[in-house]
Amino acid sequence: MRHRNPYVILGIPFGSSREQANIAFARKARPLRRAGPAGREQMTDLTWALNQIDEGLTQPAAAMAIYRIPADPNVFATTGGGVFAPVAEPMPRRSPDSRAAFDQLREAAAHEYLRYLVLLRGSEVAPPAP
Amino acid sequence: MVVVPGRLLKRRGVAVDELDGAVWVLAKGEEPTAVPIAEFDQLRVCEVPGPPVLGAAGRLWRANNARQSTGVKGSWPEYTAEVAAARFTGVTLGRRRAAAIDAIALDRPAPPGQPALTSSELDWYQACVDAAGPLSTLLDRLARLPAARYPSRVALLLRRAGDLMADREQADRARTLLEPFVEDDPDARALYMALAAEPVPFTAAFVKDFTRGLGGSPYPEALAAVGAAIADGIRPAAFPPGRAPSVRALDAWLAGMAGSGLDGAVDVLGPLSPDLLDDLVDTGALTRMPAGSTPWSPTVAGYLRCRLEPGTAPPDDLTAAGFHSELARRYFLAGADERLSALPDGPKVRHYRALHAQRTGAPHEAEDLEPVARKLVAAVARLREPGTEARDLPEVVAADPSSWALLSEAGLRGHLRLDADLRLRYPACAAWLDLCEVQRLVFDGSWPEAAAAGRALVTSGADEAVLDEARNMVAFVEWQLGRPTVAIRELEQALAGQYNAGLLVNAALVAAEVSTRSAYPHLAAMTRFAEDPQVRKGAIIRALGLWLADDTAEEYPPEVADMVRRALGAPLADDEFHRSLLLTSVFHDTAWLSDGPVAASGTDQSAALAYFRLRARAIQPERKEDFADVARMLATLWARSPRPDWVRDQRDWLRDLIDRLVHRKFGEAPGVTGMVEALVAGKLLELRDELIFTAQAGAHVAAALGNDGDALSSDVEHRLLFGPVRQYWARLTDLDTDDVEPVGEEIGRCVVMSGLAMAVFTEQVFEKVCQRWNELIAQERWDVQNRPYLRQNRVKALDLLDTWIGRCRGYLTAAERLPLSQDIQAIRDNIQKNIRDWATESRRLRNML
Repeated sequence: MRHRNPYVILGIPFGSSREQANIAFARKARPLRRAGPAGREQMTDLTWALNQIDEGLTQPAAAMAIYRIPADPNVFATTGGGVFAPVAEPMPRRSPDSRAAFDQLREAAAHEYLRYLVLLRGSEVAPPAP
Repeated sequence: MVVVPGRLLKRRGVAVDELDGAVWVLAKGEEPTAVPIAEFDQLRVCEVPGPPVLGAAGRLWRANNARQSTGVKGSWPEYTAEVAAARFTGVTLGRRRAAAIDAIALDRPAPPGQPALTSSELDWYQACVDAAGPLSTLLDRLARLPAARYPSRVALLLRRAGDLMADREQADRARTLLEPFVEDDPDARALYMALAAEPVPFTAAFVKDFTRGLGGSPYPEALAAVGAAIADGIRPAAFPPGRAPSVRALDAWLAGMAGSGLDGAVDVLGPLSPDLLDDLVDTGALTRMPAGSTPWSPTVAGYLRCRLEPGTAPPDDLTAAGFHSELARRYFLAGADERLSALPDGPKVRHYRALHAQRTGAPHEAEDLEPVARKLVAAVARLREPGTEARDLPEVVAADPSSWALLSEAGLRGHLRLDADLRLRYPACAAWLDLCEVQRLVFDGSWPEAAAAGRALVTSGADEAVLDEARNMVAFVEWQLGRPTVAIRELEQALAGQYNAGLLVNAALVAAEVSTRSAYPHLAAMTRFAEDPQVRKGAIIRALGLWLADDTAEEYPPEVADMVRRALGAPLADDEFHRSLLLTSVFHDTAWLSDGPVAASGTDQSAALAYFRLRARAIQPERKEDFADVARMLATLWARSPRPDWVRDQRDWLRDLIDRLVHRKFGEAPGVTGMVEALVAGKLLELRDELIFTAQAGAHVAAALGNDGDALSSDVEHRLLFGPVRQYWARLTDLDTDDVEPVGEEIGRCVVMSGLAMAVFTEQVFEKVCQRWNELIAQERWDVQNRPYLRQNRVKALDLLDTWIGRCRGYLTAAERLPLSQDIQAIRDNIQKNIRDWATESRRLRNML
C-alpha cells in the first residue's frame, strides 16, 4: 500500500475501537499463519496496523494524517425511519365529539358580545326621574 | 336669585313669593320687596351653585347653602328665607315630595310634614340622587326598596353596567335586584345575563333577540347581524371593540373548519377547549406548535404537543397525556429496558418491548410484534445467520432502511444481493448495498475494481451522502495508485454541496501531497465548520505541522495565521491548546497577538493570555514593555497557589534565554539586569543560576559602562557583584557539590573582569590626577598668594585617586579565595600590579606636599 492506513489494512471502518481492531486482526491473521513466508510480510503490516490503533490513535476524531474510510461514519448507519428506527407518530385524538364544546364557545362569545351591548345600552339610556 | 338695584348699591336677593302680579324679593332686611313681574323678568338672574333642586323650598335652601358654604354674596336674612321655604314644604303632596327630594339632595334635615312620604319613596329619591355615587351605597338604597317595584331601578343599574362588570361582588348583588324584572324588561334581562360570572344557558338566543330589539338609531344595524351570526354559529362580519377573545376564537375556529390555516393565528385560539383544538388538528388547520409561549394552559399545550409534535414533546407532557406508545418508542430507541417494562401495558408498548428483547437477544413473544415488524425481524435473522454464501434481500428488508444497518457486516463482506426488480423499486437500498461493495473492494486492496464500482455508483443518482462516500473511496484508490490530482478532483466534487469533516480531512491529506498550501483551505474549512472541537484542534495542529515540515515555506502562511487567529478568537475548552496557539503567535504573529482579539476562558487562560501578550509586546522595540516586565509578570504567576504548570516551562525558557544572553562578550548584555533581578526577587531561580546570572549581569553592566568611559556605582557594585560573592561563601553548602567549583569560577571571572573595567577607569583617573597635579605645581610657582589653596587641591586630587584605588582593591578582595582560571588570574595579577604602582605614586606625591 502506497500510503499505509491501519484501518484499511485491518479492513475496518475508520475510528473503529481497539476491540474491533483486535477482532479484525485475529480474523485476518489466521490464514496468514498458514501461508508461510508469503504471509509474513502481510503479518508485519497487520501488526503495525493493530499497534497504531492500540497505541497511536487515542483520539481518532482529531487524527488528520489518516485517510478516512468511510469519511462519514454514519453513512452505513440507519438512514431512514422503519421498524428498527421508528419515527414518532402523533397521538390520536382523545376528546369526544366537540358539539357540546362548540355550544359552550358560542355561549361564551354571546356572553362577551352581550356585555358589550349592555355597555352600549347603558351609555344611551336616560336617567330615571325621581 | 336675582340682582336687585338699590339706591346706592346693587344687591343679590331671592324670590320668596309671587302675589298680586308681583314677585316678592328678599334682599335686605326682614321684609321682602314687591317687584312687578314685568320688572322682575328684566332682572339679571344669578347662578346658584349646588345640586339641582325640584321645588321652591329647595331653591331657597340652596341659596342659603350657597351663602354659607361657597361664599355667594347676599344680605338677605337667612332665617326669613328659611321661614319662606317652610311655607312651600307642606302645601301640596307634590310640593312635599319635591321638598323631601331637595332636602336629600342638599343634605338637609327632613322638612316638617315628611311623615307623609313612605320610607321607600325616600330611599328611591335618595337612590336617584346617589345614582352616580359609590356603587355599594346605590345598591344598599335599591335593596331597601320593595323587590318588584320601582322598575326604573333597571335604568339606574344599566347606567352603571361598566362598574358592575368590574366588581364581581356588586354584580351579584345587582343581579338579585334585577331578578324580578327579567321576565318583562329586556334591558333587565340583558344586564342580568351580562353580569353573570359564566355564560348562562340560552345567552346566544337571547342576544339574537335583544339585538333585533335594538334596531335603529343610535344602534347600528350591524349589531344585530353580529348577534345573529354568533347565535347561528356562523362567522360574524365584525367584532365588538376590545379584546373579545371568545368571539375571535369562535371566528377562528369556524374559519379553520372551513379550510383556513391557523398556524399563524394561534394567539386567538386560547379560549378553545381541547375538543375544539382537536377539530382543528384533524382538519389540518393547526399543524404545528407556536415557537415560544402558547396561549393555552400547560396541560392543554402539553396535550397539543403530543398531537402535533410527538417526537419533541417533553416526557412530562407524554406522561400527563397518557401517551405511552411514544414513551415506549423513545425507551426502545434509548435501550431503556427498565423504563420500557414499567410502562402500562398496551399493544404498542408490548410491540416495543418485544422489539427491544429481539434486539438484545432476550426471550420474547413474537406475537407481540406488529405484523410488519414480525416479518422483518424474521427476515433479518435469516440474513444474519452464519454462512458465506450470498443471500437475496427480501422486499420487506429492501423497503425498510432501518434494518440495513443490522446487515452492514454481511453487506461489507459481499454476502448480500438484491435482484434487478427490487433494485429498480428500491434504489436507496441498491445504492447502500453497492457502497458496501465498494468499501469491501477497498479493504481487499482491489484498487481497479473498487474504482470502477465506485464510479458506477457515482453515476447512479443516489442520495448525496452515498455519492460523496463513493467519491471518497474512489479518491482513496486514486491516491493509492499515485494520482493525487485525480483524487483531489473526486474529493472536491464530494465537497460540493453538503459535506462532512471526514471529506475535509481526506482532501487536506491528499492535497498536502501536491503542495502544502493546497491543503490549507480544507483544514481552514474544518476549523470553521466541524462541530467536534477535537476535529478543529486537529486541523490546526495539522496545518502547523505541514508548515513546519515544509522546507520550501519561509513565512508564516496567512492561511495558518488566520486559522490560529480564528481559534484564539473563540472560547477554547482546552487550556493547553489555547497556550500552544498563544506560543505560536508569540513567535510568528507577534504584532497581532499584541493587541488582537483573543478569548480566554477561566483564570488560567486569562493569565496565559496576559503573559504571552506581554511577551509579544516585549519583542517589539517600539513598545514600552520589555523583558524585565515579562520576568516580573512571571514572578507574580510563580507566586500563585496553585501555580499553573506552564509557568515553570516559561521560567525555564526565560532562564535559558538569560543563560544564552549572559554568556557572550562582557558588555553586550547589560539589559539582562532587570530580568535577573525580577527572577531573583521572585525566587524563581536556583541558587546556582541566581549567583551566576547576578554576577554576570554586574559584569556586563561594568564592562558596558567601561566602554562608555564610566564606572559602576558603589551601590550596583555591591548588589550585582559583591553580593553574589558574599552569598556564595555564605551558602556554599546549599550548592550541589559539583557546582561549587564552576559557580565560584564564574563569579570570580565576573568580579575580576569587572575589576578590570574598574582598573581601566582608575587608570584614566590616575592620568587626570597626574595632569592636574602638574598644573597645580606649575601654578604654585607664580601664584604665591594662593599656595595654601592650591596645595589643598593637590590633596583633593590625591584623595580622589586613592578612592578609586580603594574601589579597585575591593574587587581583588572579593576575588580572594575564589577559584580562578589561569587567564583570569593573570588579569587579576595585572590589576594588582597597577594598584601597587598607583598607590606608590600616590604615596610619593603625598610626601611631596
